[in-house]
Parts: sequence; structure tokens; C-alpha cells
Amino acid sequence: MPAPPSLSELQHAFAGVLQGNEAPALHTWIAERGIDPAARLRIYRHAGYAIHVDALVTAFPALRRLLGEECFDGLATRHAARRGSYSGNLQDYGADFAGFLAVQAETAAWPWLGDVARLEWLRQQAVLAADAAPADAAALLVALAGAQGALRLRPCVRVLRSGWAVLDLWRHALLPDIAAPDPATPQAVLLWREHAQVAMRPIAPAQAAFVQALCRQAVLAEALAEARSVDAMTPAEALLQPLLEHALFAA
Amino acid sequence: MLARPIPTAVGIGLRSPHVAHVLEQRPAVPFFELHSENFFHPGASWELLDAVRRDYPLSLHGVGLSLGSAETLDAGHLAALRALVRHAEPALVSEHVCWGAIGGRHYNDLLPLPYTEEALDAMTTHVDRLQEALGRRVLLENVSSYLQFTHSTMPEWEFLAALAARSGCGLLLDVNNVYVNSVNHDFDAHAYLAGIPAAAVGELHLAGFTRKEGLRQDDAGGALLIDSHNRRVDPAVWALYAHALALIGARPTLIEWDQDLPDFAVLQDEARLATEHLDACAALAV
Repeated sequence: MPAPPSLSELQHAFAGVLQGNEAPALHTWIAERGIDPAARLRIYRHAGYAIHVDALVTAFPALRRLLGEECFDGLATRHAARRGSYSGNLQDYGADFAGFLAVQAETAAWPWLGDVARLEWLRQQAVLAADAAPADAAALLVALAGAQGALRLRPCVRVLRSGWAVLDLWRHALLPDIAAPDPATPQAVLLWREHAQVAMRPIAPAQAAFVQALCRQAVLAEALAEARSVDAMTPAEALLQPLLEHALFAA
Repeated sequence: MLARPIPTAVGIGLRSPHVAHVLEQRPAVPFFELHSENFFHPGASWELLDAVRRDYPLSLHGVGLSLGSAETLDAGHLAALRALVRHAEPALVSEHVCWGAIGGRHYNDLLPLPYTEEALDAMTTHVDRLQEALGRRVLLENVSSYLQFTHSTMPEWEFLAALAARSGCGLLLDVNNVYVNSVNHDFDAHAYLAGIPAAAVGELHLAGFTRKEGLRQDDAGGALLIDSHNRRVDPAVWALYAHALALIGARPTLIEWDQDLPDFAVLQDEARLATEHLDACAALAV
């Protein structure tokens, strides 16, 4: 009889089973009681896959509609086995799902699916982001007058620039009255949180470039330059308009 | 806002499909238990948390800390829990006697431990660290399991009792899990309860299980029970709950239901049934 595994050896072997491998050495140390140890371990493997598939079903509802439940669940199970989770909090699981989809054969015919997945993950981030009070006009003027011209956005603000009609595809997937869009129409989307719900609207490419720059805390001059590299004719007030309209600057 | 104590009554595990109903109707529920990890990001979720704790005593129940891991605890997870506990000031904080992460990867499940001295040392070290980080006593819950390790050197109840004695933690005794494991691993559930130090038990859990027939091929035959949290409490678990109350005494009790959630009224009805047991226990104690 070999020596029993250490706790670390046992947990690493068990983890291998959860990832789809076999661990015959572990079977010796599992009481049979009428059920093959491998079958007992498979209960945990399948439960683990189901936990992670459920998390992706929650985070990616539009993607599941577009792919179909069977296809989505199959891809989600594969993701759970191959990539897995790196957080004890399931709300953090799925950050790399868009990238994973991009290299799966099943999705090759629908190149816009990756951006729909990115949009849904940004929605998740917008929900989970910390709160910050919106800035009033006086605070904005002070920020603009500062030497660095630094404007801080509320932490829930996100933006996606896509070569596809990503927002229309998302709405079409979840809202039955929305007609199927032409996927090949590029779209940029502004996302934020409003009363615990995620709000989204399409914005112009220059506006998206401006918001993206502010999201990574670029100073105002730099953000303006980035917006104008996309569309030199966009006036500054047009760049600011969606952020002011929805009170997305942070105090 | 000061923590409101958990009464010796029957609370309900609050899940997101019922949140709007609870916040609008403010039903008479003695306390709610929330899953800690759902509130790790201080965004929209803290608005909800604050709305619940304004009107109800609160228990926070973690599922992802992996206290039984052979490796060190996830420092980020522990920091997020500490920030949440500081903000929410719950009356109870609980976690599980299990592991769920190794080698940097998380399996987000309540995985079984071998009941050995080595595992007990790991659990004790991690519970010590948790209690030190939070600055308070926590409750540790027994989990359901579908396998047992042959190199275990003590029964599950002895492991729990030793963990409570060595770390000073309390125990959250899940009566459904005791019953499920007694069937799955052929032990006497009453012997389990007799081995639990009553003074350490701070809360009881009740839930429903699923019966998987045809898996066992030995003489015992019968079903494997799965801790599915998707149905009413089984009559056998109600009987074991009555026995636990008689043995341990009345304790705050929680109805858990996580899958295939019914109307909130069904959970309230389960809570009513548990309350009848608690009241009967109190009457006997007089």
C-alpha cells in the first residue's frame, strides 16, 4: 500500500480531474461504497462545469440567444475545462470569454460575436464598478482650469468601439421587436450605470475615442487630440455632450 | 449603523430574483443571509445591501475563500471580504469547511477534505487568519459530499469539533448536509449530531436535496443524495432538525434555496414550518 497523498498532492490531483483529466492514483484513496471512484469524481467535474456555465449564462445573455443554448453551453463547458476561473468570486469569471470564442471553430462564421461578448462583459464591469458622485458645473470648471486639465469619469463608464453593429445586435438578441441589423455597420457604444441598471447608447467614433482616452486618465488636451485623429471636424462641445448629458464626470 | 443581532428565529437566504419583492413589500422575516461574494464589488450591489440591512438583521455567508486549501489564502479575496464586513457590519459571518482553489486556479465549488491532522492544521491556520483579519469570530459550515477519503483518520464530526476547539470558531450546522452525508457515506446522523459541541453551534441551515437513483451498485443500493437546494426540506431532514434542536438547543435557522427558485411565499412557508419546530423546542425548554 503506497503512502497516502499529502493534502497538496490530493488537491492537485483532484483539480486535474475537474479540468477533464484522469487521476487513477487518487482512486485508491476514495471509498467505493457501490460507486466507482471515477464516477464519484465525475460528479464533481460535472457540477464544476455547471457552476461555470451558469455564471457565463448570467453574464452573456445576448450571446447565448445569438449562438443558441446548446452551442453556447457547449462552448461555455469547454471554456470552463480549458481556461477555468482565477477568482473565488464568480462575478469575475468570464473576462476572457470573448477572446476564447474568437478561436473556436463554431463561431468562425459570425465574426461579430466576439464584440457582442465584449459588450456584455463591459456591462458586467459597469454594474460592479465603484460609485462616485457626479461632478457639478463648478467642479468641472475647476478641473478644466487646472494646469493639467484632468477630467475624471465616474468609475462605471465604459466604451466599446466595434467594426460591427454591436449594440443593435445585442438589442436584436434580447428584444424581440428589434429588427435584425446589418452586422457590418460599425458602431461605438457608451455604457454607464444609472439607478443600478446599465445604460447604453451609440456614440460617434470621435466621441468614443475621447471617452476611451479619459477612461485611461489622459489629460484633456491628449483626449481631444485622440478624438480629432479620428475626426478632425468634431467640435469639443460634441465630444463632451454625451458625458455632460448623462452626468458621467466624477466629482 | 450598528449590527442588529440575529434573533433565535428562522431567516431566509435572499437571492437576486426575490430582492425587488423584499425591498418593495418588506415582508416580516427575522433575518436575511446574503452570499458575501455577490457584494465584493462596492458598486450597485452595496446600494442593495444597504437597503436590506436598514430593515433586517444580516448574515454574510461566503462560498469562495477555500479555507481548506493546502496553499495560502487568496489575499485579494480576504481583503474584499474584510472591506465588505467593515461596511455591512453583519451580525454573523460564515464560510465552509472545504477547499475550492489550488495552484492559483479556483473551482468555485465546495470540495471535500480528507479528515486528517494535516487538513485540520491547514483549516485551523486559515480560520485563525480569517478571524484575525476580520477581528471577529466566524461560523464554519459542514458541506455535503459525494466521496470520502479512505486515509481520513477521524469522522467528519470529530474534525468539526476539533476545528472549533483549536481555532475558537463557531459552527454553522447544516442539517440537510448532515443527512445527505449520512446516506451517501453510511453513517448514523444521530451519532454525528452527538459529536458536535453544542456550545459552538451558532446557526443551523435547512435546504432540499435531490435523490439520484441507480448509482450505487453495492448491497446498500439506494440513491446518492445531491445537495441541490432546489426543493422543499425533506421529511427526513425535518426529523433530524427536530433531533438537532432537542440535542443542541434552539438556534437561528436559515432556509436556503438556490436553484429553481419558487415564489417567495414558498420560502416563507418553509420558514413557518421551521419556526414551528423552534417554538416546540422552546416550549420544551421552559
